[in-house]
Amino acid sequence: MQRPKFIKMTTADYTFEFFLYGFMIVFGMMVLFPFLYLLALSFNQGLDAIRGGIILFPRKFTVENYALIFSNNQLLGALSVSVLRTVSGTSTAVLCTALAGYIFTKENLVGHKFYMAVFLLPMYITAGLIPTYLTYKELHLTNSFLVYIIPNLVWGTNIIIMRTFFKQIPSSLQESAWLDGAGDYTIFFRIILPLSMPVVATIGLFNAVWQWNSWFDTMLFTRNPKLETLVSLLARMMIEQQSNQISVAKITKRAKYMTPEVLKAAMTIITTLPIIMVYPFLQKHFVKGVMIGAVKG
Amino acid sequence: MREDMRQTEALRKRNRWTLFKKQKNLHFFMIPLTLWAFAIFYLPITGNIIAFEDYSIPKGLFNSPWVGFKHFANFLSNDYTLLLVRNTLAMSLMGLVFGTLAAITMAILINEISHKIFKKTIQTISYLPYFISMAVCANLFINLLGRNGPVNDILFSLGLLKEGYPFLEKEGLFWWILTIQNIWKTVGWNAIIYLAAIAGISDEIYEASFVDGAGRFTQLFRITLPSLLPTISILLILNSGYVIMGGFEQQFLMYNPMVMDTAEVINTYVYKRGMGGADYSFATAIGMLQSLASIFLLLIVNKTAKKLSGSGLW
Repeated sequence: MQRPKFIKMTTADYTFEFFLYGFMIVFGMMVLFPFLYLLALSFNQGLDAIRGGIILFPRKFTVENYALIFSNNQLLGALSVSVLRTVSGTSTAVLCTALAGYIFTKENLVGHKFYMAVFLLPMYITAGLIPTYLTYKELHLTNSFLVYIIPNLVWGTNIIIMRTFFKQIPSSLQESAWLDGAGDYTIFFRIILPLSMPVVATIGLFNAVWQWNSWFDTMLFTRNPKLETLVSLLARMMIEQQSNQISVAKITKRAKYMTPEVLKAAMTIITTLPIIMVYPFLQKHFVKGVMIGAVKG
Repeated sequence: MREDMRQTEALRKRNRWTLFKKQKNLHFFMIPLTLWAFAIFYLPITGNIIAFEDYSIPKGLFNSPWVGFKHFANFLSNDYTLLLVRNTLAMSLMGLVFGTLAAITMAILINEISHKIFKKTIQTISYLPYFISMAVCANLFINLLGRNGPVNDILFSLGLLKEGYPFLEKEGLFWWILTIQNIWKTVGWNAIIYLAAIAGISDEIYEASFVDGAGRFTQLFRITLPSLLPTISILLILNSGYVIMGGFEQQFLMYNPMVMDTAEVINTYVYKRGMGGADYSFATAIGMLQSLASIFLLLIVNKTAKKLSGSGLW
């Protein structure tokens, strides 16, 4: 309850606080529990796990599920594609988004309104699955690593977030650099970008999480097993199990006590781990980003 | 006089051209990026033309036979359509209504926590699922709810179940499971915007109401909720068009043949017909109808909101 600070708490207030904190602790556990369960499962022997009864700790401890991932070529390949698409997709997207955001701060730009419309309209009008697939096929983007990079270069919301941040930088800085003979790109790289690291981090993390977590574009646009990412492989295993196919899950056949379940658990933990590691930065910047986006969008 | 105007107009045009040449460095980046946008965003939109053809890849866009509204009529007269629309609307609306309620409740409760570090910790934990891939999230829930998963184990040890219960194979439960999963994944994140709105309410209003004898619930219903109303209505309007567009990843990863009748949504059906069956034209027609319906919904909801509360999006 909102109250003046100097008023004492009553018994009713203490009861309320008790239930509030109790509820929050239960809620926190419910959020974390699925991860902890999968962690336990990923360290458990496959055949033993079928019996059930694992809650928080593995019963027959083993690291063979992880060992398989780091020794199997297909899974290692998927891991490296995941890393590669995240790194290259994020760096290109951040560069293009920042440049576009910077150029959009220049209101006297010829065609300013036209450019804005071109990049903001796709936030509201989308083409649909099949026409997108067929067009990308015509553009030779399918079955190519480029399909992870090219379509994700810029996105309207992110340009607006960048632009909003750049606008807060005092224009006198740019003017003095301009008087010293600096061109647009020099100003951008030497002055604007170094001053905008918080927003660069925000957009970078937006893109990195998006790239790391994407699986459907792999499934839609590629038939090449070499382009499979860790998440898309996980998704494919789940979809194959829906229809009782085993082409991906047959990886597990080589290990004696392995089942697809524990392999998927280990893959889940490996895909989640990087997100949890960058999470402290992530949530700080994301919350900032969503606030800017909400104010402007 | 007219001569004068013509001259200034000519001058303005020339100025624009000089300005353009001055800014050529910037256009040097913007023009290719615009071409990129046309290829990536706008070319696919024109690709919707195939909805009026019997498109096949070898014949291409220009040589495929023109069939008019055949695919639209086919879809609209199909019995299965009703089921798809029902499932889509049901899951989207349940997600929207319960998701919004959960987010508002969460924001109000988090706001009541006075211990700073505890508050921060709970918030940090609550966003975590938002950053996890839907594939991971689906795998978590499939394992939790599986026959030998912990939910079954716990219910079994409490004596509530005699044998493993296949939650994910029950048609009647699917919508609820997805709604709960949806809330689990997004409640913390969606609460942020409401927390910000609550933080924007002036302390003086609360203090004055306290002096006037308002209790916790009076404050909630008379101050907090009314102040949140504009935020709630804007978000509901924004999401209204999404009600018919919604659903794909979650259903696609969570469903199985046992629950198809309640689990299949428009988007998963489009994917199956288009990519699985190579019925490109039919699938495209469905997508177009869906987009039209979503724009229509957005317009209607916005208009109704304007009439009821006097404020809409535009």
